[in-house]
Amino acid sequence: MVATSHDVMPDIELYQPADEATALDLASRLGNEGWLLGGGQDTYGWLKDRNKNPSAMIELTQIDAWKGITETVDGIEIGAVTTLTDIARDPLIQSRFGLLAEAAGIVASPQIRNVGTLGGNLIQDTRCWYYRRGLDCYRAGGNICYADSPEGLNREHALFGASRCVAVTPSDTAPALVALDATMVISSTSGQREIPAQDFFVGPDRDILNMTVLNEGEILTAVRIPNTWANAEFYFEKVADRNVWDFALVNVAAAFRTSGENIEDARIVCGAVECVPRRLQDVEAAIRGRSRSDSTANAVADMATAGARPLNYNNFKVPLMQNLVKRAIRG
Amino acid sequence: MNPKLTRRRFIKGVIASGAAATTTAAWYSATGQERPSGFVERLVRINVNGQVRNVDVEPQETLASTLRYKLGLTGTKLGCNRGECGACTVLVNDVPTYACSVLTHSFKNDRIETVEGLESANGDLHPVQQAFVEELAPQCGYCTPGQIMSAVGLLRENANPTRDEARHALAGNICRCGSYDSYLDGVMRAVELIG
Amino acid sequence: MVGLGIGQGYHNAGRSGMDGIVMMGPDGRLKVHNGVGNLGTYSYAAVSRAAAEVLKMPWDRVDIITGRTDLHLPITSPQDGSNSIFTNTRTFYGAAQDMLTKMKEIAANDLGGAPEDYDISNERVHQIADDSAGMTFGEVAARGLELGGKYTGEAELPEELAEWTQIAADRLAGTGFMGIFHDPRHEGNPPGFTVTCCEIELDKETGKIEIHDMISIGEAGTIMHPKGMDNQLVGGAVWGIGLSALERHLYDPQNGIPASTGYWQSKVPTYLDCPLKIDTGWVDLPDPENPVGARGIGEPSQGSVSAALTAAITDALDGHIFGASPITTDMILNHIAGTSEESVPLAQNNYRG
Repeated sequence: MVATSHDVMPDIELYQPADEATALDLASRLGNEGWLLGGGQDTYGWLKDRNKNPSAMIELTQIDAWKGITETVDGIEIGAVTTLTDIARDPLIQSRFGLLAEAAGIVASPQIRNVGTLGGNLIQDTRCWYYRRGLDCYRAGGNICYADSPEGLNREHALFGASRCVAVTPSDTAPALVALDATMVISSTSGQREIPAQDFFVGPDRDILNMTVLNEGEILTAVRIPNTWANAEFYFEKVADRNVWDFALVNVAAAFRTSGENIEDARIVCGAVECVPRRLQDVEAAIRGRSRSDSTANAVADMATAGARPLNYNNFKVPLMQNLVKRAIRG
Repeated sequence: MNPKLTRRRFIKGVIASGAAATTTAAWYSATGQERPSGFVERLVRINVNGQVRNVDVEPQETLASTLRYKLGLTGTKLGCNRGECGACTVLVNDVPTYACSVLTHSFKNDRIETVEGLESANGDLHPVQQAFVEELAPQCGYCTPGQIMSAVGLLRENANPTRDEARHALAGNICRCGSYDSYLDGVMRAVELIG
Repeated sequence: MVGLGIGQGYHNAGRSGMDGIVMMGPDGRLKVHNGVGNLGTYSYAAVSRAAAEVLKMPWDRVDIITGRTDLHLPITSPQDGSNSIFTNTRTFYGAAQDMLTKMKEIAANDLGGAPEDYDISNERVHQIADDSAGMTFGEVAARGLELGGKYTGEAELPEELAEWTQIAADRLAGTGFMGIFHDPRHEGNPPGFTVTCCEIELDKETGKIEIHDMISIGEAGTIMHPKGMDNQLVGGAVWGIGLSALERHLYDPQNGIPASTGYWQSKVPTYLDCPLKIDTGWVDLPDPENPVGARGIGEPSQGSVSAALTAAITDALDGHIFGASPITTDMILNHIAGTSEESVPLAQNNYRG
């Protein structure tokens, strides 16, 4: 059913827990009926359109324990409800993990970054317009994909990892965190678990209804970034139609450790080409021991998109992704 | 039995079930679960333009709704109502924020400023407003309150921005008349007016 | 890659066949009954100035009566199609001329001599030979009210007034000293022109374009309001940028629904999609067919910017012409990579030649 756009919010309850225990308890008790609310920038559109209909919102931004940036023994920890503006402007992140500062600083628009949280940016739902429009696609629980069809408008969709659904990850910070080898801290009433950023995101082959491993009642409470890639050579670039608001057509986040002329180790991750941030391990392996140069970049360009299966209208993402990977390697 | 009483009871029953169908209560009664406590109180005090106002705010109410329809502060415009245009920009603790895409209940302890609060007590326009008038920056004027609030937020943080810094600070505000140039001229003039 | 582009924009910029009414009471204030709308360009004020200038009246002694038809407004052209300035300066100039003629008649009648012996200055009508022999505008208006007839709109109205203007004139008749004018239909088409030059940097690896330099020059007769003119030129430029590079209107053939809902899909240009500064200028050459020399300039700028930007993209791509707009990142990348989409070209475009 195609939703009509509504101007007003639906009648829905709001909880504002002030401490972790209450929030976890609410998340557990409300389950799928409780919508976890960070900055809300990927919430109110869904609710105003009546395309998602939870019974209550649980606002997490009042919980100080889940907010802020702290230095730890082996890196930094960022509370999940820290705003993107705070992350982009944080001196510690800027100096040590400039890749994340850059990614956070290019999300959407200034006002959205002012309230939008890191957790929200990571967990936000895909921007496939059919799905957003409230159509009954696989991801919405139906049995069709409108985007992967002869007449599908799929310019923004996936090159890799399609499985019935061809939607892509819209996040700019997710590829940066995968590149930085971050760990996601997930809490629930039954305790805490930690998941590598790379495994936090899931594709449609594993779960077509959710884009992360978060289960009902679980809350992403913090992101830990180890010093492994601190002060490395970074490269981040996002290509979108408009320079404000728009989601990436393709983005790239990369970190390099060099010794003399040569790359010792690298992490290269692309967003908006698959349902999850796509780490290019083959490319990373192939460039070890080589210089950050045109010739290295050109040598691995095809490898970057090996296995890509373009849809009707997203062929351009193949050269775009190759070019961004080349630029990252060239520096 | 008194037929009137029966009828009244019947009406009450209809109203109750009608209301329940659209509130959380229905879900709890349907699932037989106990409703968690801790949901928000509707009567709140919020600080708008330096005044503490008592307002009855629904849990799901956006700040723009409260400002416009409860407090009559219609200077805050609703363009897209989706955080995509910036017409509703207000300052929350000096930070530019889309009032259409935040909940009023989130700002019970914060300082909210709208375009109505910029004028000084003696009626002088804020330097940004004055500069926008002098530069004839607005065309249709609909996005103007939002542009002004973003510019005021910028100048409080950076009293001497470059044109490019101003452009980035105002980037979350769309102008469909295309007056971006004139607004930037206005911001640069405001810098001079503030001195 | 750097690309240079030049584009020209044209739109007809003036009409005729509209009416003007000005009124004055014994207080001597000029009331311009004005049906021109305000899209934010303040055209209603700009065209009213033509009447003030004919009567040499200070602007603060002029009231613009506007906004509601029950205020008895003559028919004016809608504020559209770059025409307000040309069309309605003619009508208000004419109405004020009619009032001026009537002033001189009244003065000649009361103070002797012929109307040609009179002139106006400082809100007085007086003899050219002896400016102490005269009447204030307020006195003339009061005298006009006593005389009635054509002086108050109760007789000798212009022929061919629009029905709407006649209703307004009937209701105003007898309430004040009236100047009224019908602008006859004329042949031809007054043009508004713009020329835009721009320089872009096209990134062949990302398909993105950045506009480094852009200047639009307008030719719209005498410039009535330089700041308003500047706004028209830069506003049109933002539209032109959207038209050529970004904005799209998609329909979903599967479900028959609009797919470009929301700005994130219809791509309205933002601050950062436009140049840091758009330069503007104008020729300022008076138009002989307009009493104040002015013509309109709403639409042309969009056209010239759109053309210049399209040409600059073509230039950056060694002359390749897409024959479509907008020219988006995907089209540029496909062209450079030599790939093409497997399906029919995405029916997203506003124009496909």
